[in-house]
Amino acid sequence: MDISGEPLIAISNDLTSVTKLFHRVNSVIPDEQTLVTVEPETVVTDALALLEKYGFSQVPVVVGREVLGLFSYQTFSRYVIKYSQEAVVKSRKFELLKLTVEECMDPKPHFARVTDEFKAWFDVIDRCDSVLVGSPDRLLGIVTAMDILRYLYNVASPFVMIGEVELALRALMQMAFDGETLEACARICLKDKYDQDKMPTQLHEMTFNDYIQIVGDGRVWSHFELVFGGNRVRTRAKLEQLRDVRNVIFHFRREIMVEEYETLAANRDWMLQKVRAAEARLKERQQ
Amino acid sequence: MSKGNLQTVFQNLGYFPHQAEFAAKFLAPDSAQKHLLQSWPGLGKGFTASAITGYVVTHDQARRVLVLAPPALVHQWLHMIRSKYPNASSMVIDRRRLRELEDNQERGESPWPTSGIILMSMDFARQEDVAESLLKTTWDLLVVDEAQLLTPSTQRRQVVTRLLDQSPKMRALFLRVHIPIVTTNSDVSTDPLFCDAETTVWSRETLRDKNGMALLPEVHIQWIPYHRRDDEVKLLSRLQHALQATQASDSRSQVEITTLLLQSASSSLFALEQRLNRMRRRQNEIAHGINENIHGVDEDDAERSADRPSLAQPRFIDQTVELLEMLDNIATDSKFESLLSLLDDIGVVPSSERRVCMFTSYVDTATYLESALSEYHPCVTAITGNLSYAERERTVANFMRNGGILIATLAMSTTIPEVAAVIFYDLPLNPITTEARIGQFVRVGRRGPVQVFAFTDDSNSLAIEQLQKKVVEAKAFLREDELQQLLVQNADLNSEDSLSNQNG
Repeated sequence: MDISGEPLIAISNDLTSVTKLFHRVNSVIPDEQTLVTVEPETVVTDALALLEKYGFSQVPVVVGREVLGLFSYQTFSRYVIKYSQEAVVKSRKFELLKLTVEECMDPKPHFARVTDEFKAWFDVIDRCDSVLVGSPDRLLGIVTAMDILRYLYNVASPFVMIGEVELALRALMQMAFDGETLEACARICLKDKYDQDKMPTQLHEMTFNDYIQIVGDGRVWSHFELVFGGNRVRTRAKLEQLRDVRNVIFHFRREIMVEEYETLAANRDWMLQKVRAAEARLKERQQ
Repeated sequence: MSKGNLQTVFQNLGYFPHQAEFAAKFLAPDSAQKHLLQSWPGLGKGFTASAITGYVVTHDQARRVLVLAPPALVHQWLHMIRSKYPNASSMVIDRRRLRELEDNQERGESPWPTSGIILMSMDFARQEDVAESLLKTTWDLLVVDEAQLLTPSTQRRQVVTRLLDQSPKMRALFLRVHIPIVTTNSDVSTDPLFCDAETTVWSRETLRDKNGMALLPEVHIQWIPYHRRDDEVKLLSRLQHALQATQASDSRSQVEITTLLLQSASSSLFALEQRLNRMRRRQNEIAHGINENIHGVDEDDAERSADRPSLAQPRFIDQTVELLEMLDNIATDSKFESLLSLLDDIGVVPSSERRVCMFTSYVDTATYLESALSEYHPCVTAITGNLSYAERERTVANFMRNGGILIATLAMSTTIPEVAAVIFYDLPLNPITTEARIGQFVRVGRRGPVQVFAFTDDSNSLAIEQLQKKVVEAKAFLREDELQQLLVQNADLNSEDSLSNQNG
């Protein structure tokens, strides 16, 4: 192997790039994004058909690797108005179908860098619907308002679901027994975990794991059977799955996997079903 | 350095004779340009190849090295290289990292660093723009792990072929899993990708230690019979009936979905319940127009596609509510009870001297068993594909230190320490997959024999389990090539093999 010649640039030995931890433009670009481009001579009808085909609102106009501009529904409508007004003023025939993207593009699109804060580009995206990433001679991606919305939803939704699950579990426990019974159950189920004088006896004093220890304990399961169904062990396993994902999320251990997200979502739905059923039973009893 | 000296260097570093011999053969001055290492699982082919990779970079025998591996193995590669060669520059490349490199590159220059080891998943490398970028760079060494995945007409294979064509001086090392009953020599000798490579084969039959003893012990599965209770049998019968009634087409995806549901049921009622819950959720999302998975789904992932609707599923979905209600009323778990008595017989104690490892195909079953067993045993942990590589390593280290029970999903690539007994809570349908999984714990240098247990339901409630038994019986009476022929002809069995590998 011939290794003479080129200067050496050492690869950093960090496990992953630390910049990944920050929510920057690089994080917002969807991993599966495929860059579709058009050439300047493309007629607008073809470019519009392309936008419709891919469900895009804009497409970069390129020659080779050089970005000449950005064609979008917005730039198209702007130029159509402009050209038709000019045609009226000059009493000329306006031939819409002969327009090329070069005549209807934004010739100076904005370029964000992958290391930029995406918040800094909100105004541009608000105005132009998107921002290109990279530079005019090296297009790396494109960020739209929907990309940001999806990204933020991805980041936020596990937190929201965990909140729903925790509050729902508390509500179900409140439905299952009164304050005195809760205290008695806590003293049975949590006795190995806390000293008697430090024993949490109110739901808001307990951790999520304390809830699981009480609900999943065979000695007090009879209180919950009506709410959660016939199988204590499977109920506890579901709650422990939720706890494990919760700990990964709230302690920022790592990004959760797709499978974990789906398990969280399915278990959240299961909890919702149980709450609905419990509320219906409660209403029936009250009537 | 001569071949003999190199072999001594690697043996002194703790590598087994066959591993040191191969490393020396590859690194010797007169070595072939292209090598193919075919090995039975567990003989350390990745371990040896990572040592070669680290060695060539730290000894200036190569500047740029490209390692392509299945996604689950990429970080394991990084760990193996860094543990033996901490000074070898190495980097895992994914989409975001590549964009950062591209953002920093000077005009007209390559984004790739001019020295070091670049590790990436095969599936990332095959993406068009990534492949183009790789092809514009000169690589000194290409390593492809699990090269059996480079099947003809795939983009994976195309990118590897083009890399070889593009850099005629580049050295190449291909690693292939070689199990005699699924791999024939003709596969390799006629394959244009490998036919000109110097081939080395490691098999459990031929490898011996320096005393002439077999490196891998023989393993036989001991069946543990149990009997499903009436309510469990009724549920499974209802499930099979519902699936039969909704078989709208015999499409491959429909067969896969049915197989996955039945296998989940065979694994544990919890796995079945969670799969039904996920299917119901997906159906609700579709009904409410939320048709897009916010995390993005790999179209090849059959495991997750089972939770997505198919043509026949809308009718099946109507049955899930009833099935979930039936599940709600089943308080017992006969298979789990059978497991408890088996563990009592084995005598599990929290000690590093007495470790037990359990395998399952499903993450749900693994978490269920971890939860349920923790009521009876103090040291129970689970490792699944959901955990990061560091988390898996920590869990396995604790297991080594404290003993107890480790529950692992079959698709796990982590090396499991030596154990007193192995329990397959559910068996892959294809016995060849089982053999490959056994290779995960029966690794070179370990003492044998190992006790291996698997469960069998006497009530014969699930047709899929009856089929599984028949295949195991067939394996005992057929020659290996006959079994291979049988399996190749049976498309359902082979599709199962690819599915079960993705579950963990």
